[in-house]
Order: sequence, then C-alpha cells, then structure tokens
Amino acid sequence: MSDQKKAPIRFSSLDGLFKGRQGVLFSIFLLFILFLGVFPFLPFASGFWLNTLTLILLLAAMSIGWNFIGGYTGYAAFGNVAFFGIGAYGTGLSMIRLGLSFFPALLIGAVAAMVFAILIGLPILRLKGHYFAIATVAIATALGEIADSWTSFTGGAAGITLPFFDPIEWSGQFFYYMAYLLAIGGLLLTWFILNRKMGYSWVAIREDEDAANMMGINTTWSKVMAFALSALMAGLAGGIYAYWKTFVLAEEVFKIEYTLQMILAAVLGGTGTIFGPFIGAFIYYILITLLVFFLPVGQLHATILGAIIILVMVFTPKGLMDFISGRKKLSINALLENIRTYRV
Amino acid sequence: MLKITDLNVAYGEVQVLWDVNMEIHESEVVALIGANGAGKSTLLYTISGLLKPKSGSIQFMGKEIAGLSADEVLRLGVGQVPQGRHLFAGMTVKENIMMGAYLRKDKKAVKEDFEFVLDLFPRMAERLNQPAGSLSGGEQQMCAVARGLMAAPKLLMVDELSLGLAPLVVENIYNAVEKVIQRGMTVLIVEQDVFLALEQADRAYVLDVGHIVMSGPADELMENPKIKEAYLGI
Repeated sequence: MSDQKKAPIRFSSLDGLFKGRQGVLFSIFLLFILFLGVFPFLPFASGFWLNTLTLILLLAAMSIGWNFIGGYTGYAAFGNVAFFGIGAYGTGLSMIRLGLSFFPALLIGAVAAMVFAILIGLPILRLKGHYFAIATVAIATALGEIADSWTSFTGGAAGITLPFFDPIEWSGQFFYYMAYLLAIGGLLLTWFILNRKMGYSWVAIREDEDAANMMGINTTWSKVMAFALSALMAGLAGGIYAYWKTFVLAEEVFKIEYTLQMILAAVLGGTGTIFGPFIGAFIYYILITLLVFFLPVGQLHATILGAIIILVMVFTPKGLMDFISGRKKLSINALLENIRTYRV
Repeated sequence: MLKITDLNVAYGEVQVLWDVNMEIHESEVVALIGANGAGKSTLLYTISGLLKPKSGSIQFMGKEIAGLSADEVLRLGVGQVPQGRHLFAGMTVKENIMMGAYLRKDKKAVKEDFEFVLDLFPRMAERLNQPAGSLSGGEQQMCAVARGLMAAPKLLMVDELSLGLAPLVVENIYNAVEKVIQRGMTVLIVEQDVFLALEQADRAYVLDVGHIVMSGPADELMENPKIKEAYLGI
C-alpha cells in the first residue's frame, strides 16, 4: 500500500480543538453557530431568511443522520427519505387522529421511524454494497406508494392537513429554533458517539467488517444502531417539517430527491466528519441558489449542479473539509492525487 | 483446552473440512500445517465463529463453541491474528491496537498490555499516530499481532504470519511470538512455512485437502520422511 493512502480518521477529542488552524476554524464555526442562534432577533431576519435557514438546518440535521450510516459505517443508504416520511406521517396522524399536541406527536413519529429502521435494518444490513443501496431505495419507494394509496389511513392523494402553530405570528421563529436545535443536537450526538465504543465500531465496520467481527464487535447491532439513529434524525426532521408546512402528502414527503440532498450535503462537506454534513448543507443551498439566480433559463441549473457534483466526487471524494481544515493544500497536485487514491 | 471432534465444514455444497479431530492443551504451542487450499484458514474461521460448521463439535474449556458468534467466542478467550492482517487502514496504529481490546473493561490491565505490546514491537511505538494503511508490510503484520494480543486471549491463533514478508522481518515477528509463548500463552500457529512452524511448536497437525493426515510431536514430524519430501523439500 502506498504512503498516506488514507488520511487518519480524526476522532474528536477536546484537546487541541482551539489550537492552530484547526482551532481557528473551530472558533469560526462556533461563532457561526452562535450567530445562527441569535439570528431571528437580528433586524434583517426577514421571513424569507428564516424560511431558507429553517430548510437548510433541517437538511443539515438529516445529513448529519445519514452520515452515521453512510459516512461512518460506510453503508450506502439511499432511502433515508423513508424515515423523513414516516416522521412526517407519524407526527401528522398522531396530531389529527389521536388529537395529541405537537411534541408527543413528534416523539411518536420519530420513534416510529426508528422502530421501522430497526425492523428493516435487521434483514437488509446483511446485504453489502449495491444490494444494500438498492434495497433501501426500494423500501423508500414502496413506502411512498403505500402512503399514497392507503386512503383510509393516510388520506391518500388528498394528504392530511395539520392545525396551525399557535400563536401564528411566532410560527417562523418556532420552526427555525426546532430545526436549529435538531441540527445542533445532531452535532453533539455525533461527537458523543465518536468518543464511545459505538463510534469506533462504526468506523471499524467501514474499514474492514470481517476484522471488526474478529475484534468482538457485534456488527449487526452496531449497524442497526447507526441506521436507527440516522432514522431518528430524519424522523424528527420529518415531524417538524410536517407541522411547519401543516400538510403531509406522500409524493412530497417521500421524494427521493430528499435522500439525494442528504447525501450530497454530506459528500460536499465531507462524509465521516463531524461538521462536514452541517457545512455541506449550507454549501449545497448556496450552490443551488446561485445557480438558479444566475441561470434562470429552464433546467440548466440542474445540469450545472450535476456537473459540479461530478467534479467534487472526482477531485475531492472526501469532501471540501479536507481543504477547509488544511488537512490537504488546495492545489492541482492534491486534486490529481485524490483521483489516484480513490479510484476504484 | 480446545477439543475439536468430527468437524465437517462446507461452503454451500463444497465440503472443505472432513471429520477433523484436534486437541490443544493449556500452555501448548500447536502448529497446523498444510499446503495452499488445505483448509487451514477455514478451520480457524470455524473455531473463531466466523463460519458455522456443518456438523461436529468444538469445545473450548469444556464449553461448546461451535455455532456461537464471533464476539461470543472472543469473549470466552479465543483470539486470532487473521491471514492478510485485516487492519483498519484509515485508523491510526494506536487505534488499531486498541481495537483489539474492544471487549475488555479492565482499563488498568489494558494499559499494561498496551505497554507490553509496545515493548514487543518498538517500531509500533514510533508510529502510533500514523494511519495503519501507511505502514510497510512487516509493520502491518506487527500491528496485527499487537492488536490480536490486546484481546488478552487464552488461546491465540495466528494465521500465516510469514506471508509475503522478508525472512528478516519474519524472524523479528516470530521472536515476538516466542516471547508471548514464554509468558505461557496457548498458541495455534497456522503456517505454510512448515519449517518455521515446526520450530516453534510442541506438536503439529498436518492438514491435506480437508483431512488431518498426520499429527504428533513437532520434532518427530520434522524428521518424518514424508514431511521432509512433501513440505520441506529435502
């Protein structure tokens, strides 16, 4: 194996966090988090900005969740939108059919998503590579179809309508903070797990599942936990989204694009890193917005976005975090080196 | 300590091990030798729970372990250094070595063992924060042995430690294994390099196309004309 084939994984530890370039970046990141924390009270925080940031934070939260199974454990989950959908329907149905208030309903939605992840994870996490990826896509698609046709339970194509948040003038702030807390909670959860055996077991499974088994890791349990926690994040995001939009419709909450967005955000920022998915969600939205703004003609922006994603995948498969964190210097050589290192 | 009775193992329809009988006593060093494809690694994987036997029994310290999962077998005290090293390439050397102690809760003893393996392989001490994937072949094998030892197994199974390594490096690694043996650990050595294995072992079993065809004290096997002809080339 050639030298420096892979960069060492950084398990988070608090020492050195405020030192050197790493420290500067971390401080900037903390300031950014604080800024987001007080954002709704700033004079220029219009409804538009709150709306946009809520969307980005929900994406960040889901991407952080996807990172558990896709980034750390290395299983290509392409159906995480299923958990988003279950969270949305679970929350919505609990509110209108059981008459629960939002928080208990959200809890039911999230737990439902987790339980579902455990039930399907037990069989499909035995599959590897493409087979697992295909199984997850199939399950998400099937769930969408079921939600769409089971009219008596889900309202079918008419969807379900939820009550408005009360008091309505605080609605924007409320959902902004829900999304904010979920994303921050996701970051803390990642950090917490990485400092425990669970985190090591995920990375060990990604690096060499047979060896992980030989070390005595109960790989099935570890993988199912990674899957369930990623479902928890997506389920909570789905529940918040449902109440925010006050409407749940199968073709909206089971959109396969949401899975792609989660993955893209994680890949852009850097899979298998704590902050990568969070930062990636912002990068993704900025990219999309710029493209739509400068290329208002037809679907051209989608094409360009596709091209950018291909370039990122080819040149920086570990995400932009490699360069942001200074782990690698941004240069033609580093980009070419990446191609050599990660080609299949 | 380990008693294998009439063990049959198959990959689907293809049977690889036929009625294997084998015994390892406490503090004994046993070699399992045989040509490529004889079924040596299959036997190790079956003992360690990565493969399920078709029939037969494997008893470890009086307890039936055939069919248990890998983590349960390791918990009982059967550890291994797998063929091909199987390191976690992206983790640092230190993380790799510590992964060996994944199941252990006795922090103090883990720390002592960590110091012991660094004493055993001073090269590892110099490279603790390097990714394991960046090590040379010999260093990777040292790292794998160190990781295997960190599980503090009662029975350590080492698979093809010499594979693809320069003779000097092999000697270095087997010197370390010898030190471990002197501490009283029970070891099962699987080797293609028959001379090397017989030199270390008290007793040996010869596996040929899935059958145990010979067994006995290592020095006797070393003198056996059939062994000499088939494996030692003298």
